[in-house]
Amino acid sequence: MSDVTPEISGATSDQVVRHRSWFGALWRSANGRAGIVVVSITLFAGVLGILGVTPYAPDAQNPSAVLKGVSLSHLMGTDQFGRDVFSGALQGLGVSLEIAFLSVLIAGVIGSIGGIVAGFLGKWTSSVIMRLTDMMFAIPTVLFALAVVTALGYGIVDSSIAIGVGWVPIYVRVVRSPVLALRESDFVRAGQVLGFSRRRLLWRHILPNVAGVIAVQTSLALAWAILAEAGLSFLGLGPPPPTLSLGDMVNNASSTAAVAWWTLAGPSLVIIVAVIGFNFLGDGLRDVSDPRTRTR
Amino acid sequence: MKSFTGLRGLASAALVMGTVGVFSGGVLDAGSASASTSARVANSTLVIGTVNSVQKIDPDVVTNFLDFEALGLIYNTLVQQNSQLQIVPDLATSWSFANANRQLTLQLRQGVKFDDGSTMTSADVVASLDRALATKTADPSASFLASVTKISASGPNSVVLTMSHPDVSILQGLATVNLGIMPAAAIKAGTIATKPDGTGPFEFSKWVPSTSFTLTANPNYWGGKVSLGSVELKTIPTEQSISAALQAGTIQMALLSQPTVVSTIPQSYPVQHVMDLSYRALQLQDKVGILANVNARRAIACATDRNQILQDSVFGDGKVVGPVPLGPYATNPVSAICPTPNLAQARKYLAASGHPSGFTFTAITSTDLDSTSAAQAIAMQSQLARVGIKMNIQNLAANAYIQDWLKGKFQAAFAENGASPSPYVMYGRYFGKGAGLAVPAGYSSKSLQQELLAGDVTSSAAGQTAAWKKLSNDLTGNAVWIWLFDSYDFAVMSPSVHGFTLSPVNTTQLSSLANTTLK
Amino acid sequence: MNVVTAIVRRILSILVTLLGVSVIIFVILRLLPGNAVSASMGVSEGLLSKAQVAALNQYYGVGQPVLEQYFSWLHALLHGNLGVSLSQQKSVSYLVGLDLPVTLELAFFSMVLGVLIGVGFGMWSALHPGRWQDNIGQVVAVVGLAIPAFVLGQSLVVYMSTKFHYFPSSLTFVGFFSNPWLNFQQIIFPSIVLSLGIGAAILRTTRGAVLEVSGLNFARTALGKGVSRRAFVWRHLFLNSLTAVVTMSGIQLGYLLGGTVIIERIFVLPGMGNLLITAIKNQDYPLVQSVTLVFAAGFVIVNMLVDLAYSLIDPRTRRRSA
Repeated sequence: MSDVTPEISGATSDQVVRHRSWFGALWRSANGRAGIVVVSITLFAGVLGILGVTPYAPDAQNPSAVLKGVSLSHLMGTDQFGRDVFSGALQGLGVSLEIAFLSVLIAGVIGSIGGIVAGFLGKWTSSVIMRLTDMMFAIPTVLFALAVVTALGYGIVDSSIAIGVGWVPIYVRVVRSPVLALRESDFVRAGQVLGFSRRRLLWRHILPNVAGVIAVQTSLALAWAILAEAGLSFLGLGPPPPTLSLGDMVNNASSTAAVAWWTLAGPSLVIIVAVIGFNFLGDGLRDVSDPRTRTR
Repeated sequence: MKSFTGLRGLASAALVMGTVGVFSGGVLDAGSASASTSARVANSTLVIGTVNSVQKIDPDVVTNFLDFEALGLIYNTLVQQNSQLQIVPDLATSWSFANANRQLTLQLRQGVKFDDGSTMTSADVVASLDRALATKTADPSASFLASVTKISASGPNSVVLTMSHPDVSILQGLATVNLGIMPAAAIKAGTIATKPDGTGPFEFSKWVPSTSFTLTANPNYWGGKVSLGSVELKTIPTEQSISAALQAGTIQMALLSQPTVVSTIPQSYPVQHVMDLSYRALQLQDKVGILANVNARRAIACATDRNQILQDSVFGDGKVVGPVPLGPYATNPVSAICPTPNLAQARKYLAASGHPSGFTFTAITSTDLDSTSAAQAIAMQSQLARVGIKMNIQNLAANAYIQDWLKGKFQAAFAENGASPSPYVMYGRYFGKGAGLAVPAGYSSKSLQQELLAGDVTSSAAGQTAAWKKLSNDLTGNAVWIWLFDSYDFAVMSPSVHGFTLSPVNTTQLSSLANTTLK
Repeated sequence: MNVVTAIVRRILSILVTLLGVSVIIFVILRLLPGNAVSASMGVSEGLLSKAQVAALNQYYGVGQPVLEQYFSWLHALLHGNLGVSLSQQKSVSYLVGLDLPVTLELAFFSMVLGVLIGVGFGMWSALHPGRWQDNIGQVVAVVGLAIPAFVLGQSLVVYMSTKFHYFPSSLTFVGFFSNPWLNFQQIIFPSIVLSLGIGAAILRTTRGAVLEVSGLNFARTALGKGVSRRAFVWRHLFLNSLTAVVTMSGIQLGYLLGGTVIIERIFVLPGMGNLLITAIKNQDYPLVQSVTLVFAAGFVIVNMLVDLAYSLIDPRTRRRSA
């Protein structure tokens, strides 16, 4: 540590400063603030759903309260079996978030490693990975999804894999270019000259510097994964009951929507709010990590 | 050849027109315009919406529900099942068994013409059955003719089937579209797989794969004049969109299976429902592991609340059944040991099985094949838990399920199996001697084989009733499988459709289209 | 000379990508449980005798050596033959010929609407940063990206059919040239639904790019020189943001080609998405393989066109066209 040259320590200390004020900076950005608030509410509601802390049991049928509209006792009305839509939506949100986080974890880990390797290692490895990425981009994601569930079956993990695979190439591309730029940058070159190990360069210099990009991507990917899960469930490829996700609820509600709009509106609203939240958070993170490009 | 700019001009003009139209309330105008278009074709064409699509058009190889329906309108069979599920004449007007039920002679209807204009004779019947039996054809219903050693014409209008053993159930087999009658010339020319040619009320007109299948009225139909000009089976991938299309007037009939969708269609659309000829059961592999223990299986049977499963999975739109769901030999009561749930009895069986505190097994489902199967499994899971039996559920994609099912690679499987009023036709394939589906059946016994044979060799009503009663008791008493329920199929019609009755015979539910009119 | 090499390299890289896609698809399909015979017969396969199953296996090519299957498919492809769908007994090119125009038309209208919404609102927003116009634009962007297309589509279908008895796309699909007005009615509603998400993405890009450009020196100089506002907006701001807009439109179009499945199902359009889903369910390998390849080809061609557009818009990028 003592032999760190001024240039390099400059870079790292800058990094430390950025880390310290990271949350503050995010909170100062309007997007970031909106994102933090909405995502916190979403996560809190999702956790309630997972823990089963809901106003009614989500699957409790009540023949005397069938297709009742929005009221104080039923915030999102009831469905054709008298089930409370709000309770169902909380539980569904929990399932959707589980799938979203798991799928983004899969995509993020594989994709980021791929991107870093492609950017950091030699030309040959890089071009193989990028070529593979091109191929994955060119294959419709629905085909991957169908293949995964046909081979593995239906469930939360299977859906997560099916969705995660689709986002891998995006991570690879997004992570690779800053790594490529960093590799050519002065402080990494200096590190190479000083004989730092590749691992040290990677962990101490490259990774902290692409963390911002990965964070932005992760937030956007979560928004996308929630939508993708809803789409998969709509095609009948989601986890089977009783694991009702938001997508399942929307799908089931489409038959009752004509007579009871709230059965469709409730879960749809939850999807929309969650997606908006993660999109805001992603924009906010981008504002913070790269002040040059405000809200593209 | 139009120039690119011309095209672009046209496109942008259309875009402007459309935008103006939509925003000036043109939606309504356009609606009435399309309604009048559909009214114009409506007096001749009945469009039926279904989530299924016609997959194959060779009657000898079809296995999908809609393929049977579509080809059942084009082809006739020698005999058919009426709505009471009795065997009645179709192309054969009468028949008789001889030589101790080892020989069947059928007299053919005369003056019947194929779509190509040729007249049907016994040569066509022989050629059709020979084609079904040929290995190359791979007709899944060839097994119904397993006992047949010889098919011959005994005159221009009569056919004789010679069997190796007494087999009265062969009549039920002959009613399947898989054994439909086609012209010998077309068989020889090899055109059956591309151009259907039968004697039924409709003839083949057009097939757009995964989109629509169109039939036109057969002017030479032997059964009388067909009122509808044509029938289109239109594939609409979701039941919600089918319901929307019905209410928009673009289709006149909807084939539905989801009660939730049916219940939201306005009352002015008449609804018909029938118990389809199939049953839901939890099939068990009774040769290995804990389920080889008869008392363990009986405990499952007694802890199961079939009515609750029916409620939870299809919202009560169906009926709790035993091995033979309907027809003259319907199983009643539905189980010989526990027709209704009996937890005390279940615990007694558990004790007798040597696992008084319960046991664990895994059941597979496939929501692709039966969308209600997961709900059935969940309901049953909580019921069995009450006596300490833990049932794990594994939901598989269609192809994975089929593979495991065929190989018997499961402990228990939620299945929807085709039914027949003839117990022999239903269970001979599972429990008969040398049965094709013995592996997925997972159980075999001498007594079952004998009971199946006993019912098959006698043509006396009393003899059959007794034999099939014994079979039902054997199956449920040993809890070979756990039979659950039979659900409804729905047809919802526009008020302009008259004279249609949804038939309970699930491969020819649409047969009354021959007498249907549109007003 | 330089341009020719670049084009040749580009085409070669497309071919490599497509070849890779063909291998990936081929491998994925072979990893799935079951085969065309069981998919086509369902549980009835169990009723067939061994000899019957053998006959079917031969027909469907089940059990052929995998490498042999791959190379005979590739061989046929190189001769312009997409193969024959086993489950539907029609040539793949016939089936694709039926369904591709539907998807292309849907993609075209969705893109046109999406670009109109995106560029229109995006410019409007960017020219009034922080004002109410910008707020409206931002709301469109945020909501457009968050509403699942199928929620919008399903609601539209339910609403139109129950309230107005209007659901034109559930009539038999007609081609543009046989009945332009009905065809337009059939395609416009799903296009509107799809265009919202596309429009939102393009809107964000347009707004961001225009804001960035307007902050640059040349823009201030141009304004200072007294260029008319109209000319300034379109010639300077918009043209300079065009690369970003074209990139985003290209990405969206690429996704659109593979992403119309759900909307096709809701609106009963016989397009490629539907064809692909049916083919996978039937494990109709030749059909899935060739349809996926058509999708992939569409995707890489769109990408190439986007790059081509770059070099037209921005001469600087010509060098790095590889």
